[in-house]
Amino acid sequence: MTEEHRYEMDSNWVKERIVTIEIEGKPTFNVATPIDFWPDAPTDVLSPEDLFVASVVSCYGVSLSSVSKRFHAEFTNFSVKGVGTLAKGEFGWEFDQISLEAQIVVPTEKDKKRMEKAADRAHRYCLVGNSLKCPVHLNFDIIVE
Amino acid sequence: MMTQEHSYRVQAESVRPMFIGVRVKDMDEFEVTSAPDWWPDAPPGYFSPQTMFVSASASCYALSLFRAAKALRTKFKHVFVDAFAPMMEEDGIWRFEAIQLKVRIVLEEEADRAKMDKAALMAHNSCPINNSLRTSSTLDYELVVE
Repeated sequence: MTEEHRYEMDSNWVKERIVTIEIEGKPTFNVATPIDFWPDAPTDVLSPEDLFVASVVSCYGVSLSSVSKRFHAEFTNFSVKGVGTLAKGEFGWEFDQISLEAQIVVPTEKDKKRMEKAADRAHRYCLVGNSLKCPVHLNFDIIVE
Repeated sequence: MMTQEHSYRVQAESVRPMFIGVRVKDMDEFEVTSAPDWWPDAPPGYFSPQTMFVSASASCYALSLFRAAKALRTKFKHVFVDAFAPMMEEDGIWRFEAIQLKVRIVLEEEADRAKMDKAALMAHNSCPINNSLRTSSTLDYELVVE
């Protein structure tokens, strides 16, 4: 692994199934669940590596917002930071890991218990994460406020 | 089980050297370029995670083609990538089943064909995004002289 090929970004929840992607020095943009999974879904120069990591980060975020509903876990807000690193693989450069740090704010202790399950389930069912060769490591912190 | 209902199509096309335009249905076109750690001169709407994922694959291939062409000391005029990615569900878990890259590479002269043929394959093998996929990434390309 080399620090030279490291891509970092943040994602914050906006509303419903919409989150932001924020990369230093670049315009912030929104990401939404596609219309085939969410019928009410709404319709600068980024690199493929930015987009790749952004797709993992934002996928976890929209998965969390969806799964939390199924677990009846309320949240006030959440943010996700993602870092992906490249390493030399068998055929050339490839991502050797992506790490996600999520901070989730909930209103009650009951929501915290439910959100722990939702946060874990969202990671397990994240379809972008499940499409990668490299591991996606998730750490989450749930705060009651 | 593959389903067409959850398939995402993205197109990427070169707009000028090292800059790729990416198109997703019903959205404004946006440009993608190499990260500054690969290209020191690199300058500083709603996309879904799935369309961004496929965008990453399509644009990465096109950018890898520039690097491959340079490494083989050859050139091309234009590249167009049509990426199609169906999803599948297995044991209740959705993931991409495949990413299919259909590529059209335009050459200025016939003399460039042999080396660009190698460059097209090299780009696919060296693309960091495609090398990071669990799913298969297939490449179907054509070289035309115009």
